[in-house]
Amino acid sequence: MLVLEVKKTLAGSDGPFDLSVNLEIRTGTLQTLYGKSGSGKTTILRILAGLATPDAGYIEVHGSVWLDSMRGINVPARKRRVGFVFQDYSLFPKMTVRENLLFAQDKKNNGKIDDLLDLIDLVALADRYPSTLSGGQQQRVALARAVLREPEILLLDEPLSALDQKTRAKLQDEILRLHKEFNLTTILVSHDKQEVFKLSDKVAFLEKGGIVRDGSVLDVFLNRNTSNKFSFAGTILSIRKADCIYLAVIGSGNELFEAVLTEKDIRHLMPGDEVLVASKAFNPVVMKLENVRNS
Amino acid sequence: MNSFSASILRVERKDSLCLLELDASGITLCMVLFDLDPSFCCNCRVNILFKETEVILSREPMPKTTIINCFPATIRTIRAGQILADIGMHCAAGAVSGIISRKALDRLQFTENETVTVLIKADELTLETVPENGECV
Repeated sequence: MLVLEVKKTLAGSDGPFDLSVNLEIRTGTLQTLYGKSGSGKTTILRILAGLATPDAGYIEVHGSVWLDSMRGINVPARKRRVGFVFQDYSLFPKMTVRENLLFAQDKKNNGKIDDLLDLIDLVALADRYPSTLSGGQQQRVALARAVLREPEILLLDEPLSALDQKTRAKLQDEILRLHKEFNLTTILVSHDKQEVFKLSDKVAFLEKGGIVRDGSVLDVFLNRNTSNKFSFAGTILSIRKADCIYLAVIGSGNELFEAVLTEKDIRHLMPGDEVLVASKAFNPVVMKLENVRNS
Repeated sequence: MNSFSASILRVERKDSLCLLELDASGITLCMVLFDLDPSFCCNCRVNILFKETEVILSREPMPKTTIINCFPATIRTIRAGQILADIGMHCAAGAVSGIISRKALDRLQFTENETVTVLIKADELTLETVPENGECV
C-alpha cells in the first residue's frame, strides 16, 4: 500500500494555488493521475521521488515511511527505490543500451540485464548508442532501466506523449507487461484519455491541485459502471447514413472501428465526441489465426 | 441504444456465470453475464441497455422460441429504408426501437398502432449503474 498526503503551494500561470492531495494506492495497482497541464500531476511524482519537498506531508510505501513532515522524516531521493521514466527518455548519450542499463544497477548483474533485454525485445540493440535508436526504442530502454532498479514504485511522467500512435500503442503494451511481470505499483501521468482507459486500474482526476474524482476509469469518466467485459475509449471520426441507420467510424489509438448507430443515437452523438465502445463477452466472434508471423 | 429503468429481483450464480431476473415497469427480463460487479446487487436500480439491431419482432403474443425475453409493444413509427427498417415502439417500460430487415417488414406487413411482441436474447442485455444519485439501496 502506498499512502500519500501532501500539501504544497505551487506557482500557476494564473497565480499561486495549493496542491492538496490524499491518495491510497494498493500494491500492484496502475494508478493514473489525469488532468490538465499545471494541475500538479508532475509535482506529485517529483515529491514521491524525493526530487521536490512538500510544505507538509506524509508518504508511506509498503510500510516504510519516506516522508513525515511532522516528525522531520524525509528519506533522500537516492535512498527511495523509485523508477522514474520521463517524456524525454533521459539516456546517457555516450553509453550503449547495455551500459545505460548497467549504470542503473546497484549490484551489477549482466544476467539480469540479458533477461530484461530479452523480455522487452532489445537484445539486438544492446550495443547501440541512444542516438542511433528511434524514440520508441529509446523509451523502451528508459523503461527497462527504471524496472531494473527493482523499484517499489514506478513513476511514468507522460512517457509516451512524444511518440507516434503506432509506437505509443506498442509501448502501452510493454508498460502493462512490465507492470504485471514485476507486480509493480505504477503511477502514470497522462493527458491521453484512450491511454488512460487502456492502462489504468484507478484514476485520480486533478484540477488546480486537488483530486476532483477518484476511482475506476468508468467511475471517473462516465460516472457509472456497466456489466460489459470489453470496452475502450475512442473518438467518433465520422458518421455516415446508410439506408435508415448510420455507421460511425471510431478511432482508438491507431485502430479504427465501425459501429452501427440509430436515428436516436445521432441526436446526441457527433464527430469529435469521445465515446465508450463496449461489448459483452458473448458477442465477439473468435477465430484462430493461421500462418501469421509474429512481427 | 434502448434503455429501460429496472430493478434487480434475483441473481442466480454458477461459477462465474450469473443469471439475473429484472423488473422493468412490470416487464420481467432475464439476462446472463459473467462476474457480476458488486455495484449490481438485488433491489438495485439499474438501466438495462440493448441495441436496436438485436431486437426481434413477432406478430404472435407468445411465440414458441428459445428467446426468454418477450413483451408486448405498440408500433408508433415505421421508417422503411431500402434494405432495413427502423421500427419505433412503446411498451410498459417506455420507448423501444428495433432495426429489422425491409424484407421482414414487407413479409409481416407491420403497421402503426399495431401491437407486436418484442423478443430479446438474455445474452444481449447489458446492465448500467444509474448515473449520479443512483447508488444501490
